[in-house]
Amino acid sequence: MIKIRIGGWAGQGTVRAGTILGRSLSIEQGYHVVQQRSYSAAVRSGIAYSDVIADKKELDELVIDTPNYLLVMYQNTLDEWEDTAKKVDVLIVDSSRVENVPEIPGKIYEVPAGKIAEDIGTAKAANVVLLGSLARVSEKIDIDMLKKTVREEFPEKYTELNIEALEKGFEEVSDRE
Amino acid sequence: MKEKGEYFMEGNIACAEGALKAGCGFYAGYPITPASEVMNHLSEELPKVGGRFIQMEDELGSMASIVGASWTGLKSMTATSGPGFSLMQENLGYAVMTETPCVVVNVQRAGPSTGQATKPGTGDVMQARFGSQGDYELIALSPNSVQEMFDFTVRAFNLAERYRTPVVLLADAGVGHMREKVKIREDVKTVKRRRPEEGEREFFDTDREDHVPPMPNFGEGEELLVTGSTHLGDGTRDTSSFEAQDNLVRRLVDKIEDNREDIEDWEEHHAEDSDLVVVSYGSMSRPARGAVRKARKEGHNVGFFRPKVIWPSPEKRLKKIGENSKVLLAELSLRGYRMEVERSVPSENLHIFDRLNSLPTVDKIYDNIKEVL
Repeated sequence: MIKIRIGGWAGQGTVRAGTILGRSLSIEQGYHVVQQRSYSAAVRSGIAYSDVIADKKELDELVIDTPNYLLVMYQNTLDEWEDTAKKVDVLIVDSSRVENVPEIPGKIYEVPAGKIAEDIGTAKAANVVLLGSLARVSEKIDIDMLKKTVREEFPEKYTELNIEALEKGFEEVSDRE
Repeated sequence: MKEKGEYFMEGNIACAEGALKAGCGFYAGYPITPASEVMNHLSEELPKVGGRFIQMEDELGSMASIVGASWTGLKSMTATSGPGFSLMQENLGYAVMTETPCVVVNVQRAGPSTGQATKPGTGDVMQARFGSQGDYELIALSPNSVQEMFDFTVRAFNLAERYRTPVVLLADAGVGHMREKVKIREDVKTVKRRRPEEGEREFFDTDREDHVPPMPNFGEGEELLVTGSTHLGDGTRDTSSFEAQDNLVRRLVDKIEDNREDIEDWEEHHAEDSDLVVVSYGSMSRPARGAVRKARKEGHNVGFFRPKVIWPSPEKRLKKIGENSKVLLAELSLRGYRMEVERSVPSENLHIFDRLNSLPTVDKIYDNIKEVL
């Protein structure tokens, strides 16, 4: 079972990222997948996150207690989740918006996703950059299937930008290994 | 409307797609978290298949207009959550009394009152059954997956048409806001209300065994009287006689009660021969089923029971289960289904796992199972 949480400030596309990841794992890779989203009752602002659980077997686990992979896009979200972060296997942060990362036993990947996304066209694609990095870190997530999903999920005019975002995120992590 | 195929889809969207496949021709609603996606999706898709969509001023109007639309011959529906469901109760009773087929989706959230709008809960189970005044029965379905959000919406329309009654799809935010793979079929079986045959003049009474009278449409030249007051078979009001009240209200109740065999549906695993049976429904029944599976793997003799149709409640089956084994009711509420289970299971056999605000993990329920065993 793989358990992934993607969190940040409302509007950063954490739920969108979870949907792309979930769809890719489910439709393209054949996993049983459950994706949940959580957001505050405010019209704007607040922490928003998305949980993706994937398994080869039929899935009745609908929520995540401790994720294996935690992706964080905003400083206050990480501050809020410090206890959780200490229990995860892998923490990936958007270092453009997260500067203070606590010491944890798990592995930390600091990816300047916001900056990378801005360089290729729009900071809005930071969520997709992080998905690219996740695909590099986790062998179970297939980057080619993510690309296929992105092609189907986004309107055509944004496809290439998002494919590039995936690739840059993927390369960014491999550079460090 | 989606073509046949497999999709990674949110529960509320699957519900809307189910409505389209079932032949929904009219939607009226007022947006509310966590049900708005049903409305949002139908506002785009319903007009494309020739249906009508209207955003009403509130939930009173939404419920009223789906009743009216149904009498024009269209399959009609609304979707809401707790606060809106409360506002719909008066006209829901009107739909029961006038035997108007319609589907009311309640994607339950944590209440009471405004509660926690984005969080799941199942505190409306009793309201779905007893929310409007007077004696009545209705049908409520309890989905626990995105696939069932699709399938049960189709079934809700079919039951509404078959029995000329409002049907409640009693979902919760746990399934409404969840995404999973869903299989959309082309060959969805649909049912349409029985129409009057030549010379048939009674639209509010019948000698038929199923207690379901035929239903004409407004504007077809019939002398059609539709009223929430007690009425005779031809629709005329009778607000004083014993016979009119007794005949009508008994038939409305019998219409559901005597057709239980056709309506009832549940899922069970080892419910006959276990030391403990976990009873659960809605999104909570997923981790509950996972916990039962884990317990059996660990060698514990545990079974599982889940009503898919929660009203009418499978009381005989629950009674039978409660006679032979301990029961652990797992629900996302303190009072949701509890009294109904207490009625069927002896108190010394009944244990409760209740939880508010969010779904538990499989392990949380598994730990509770071990405590009760």
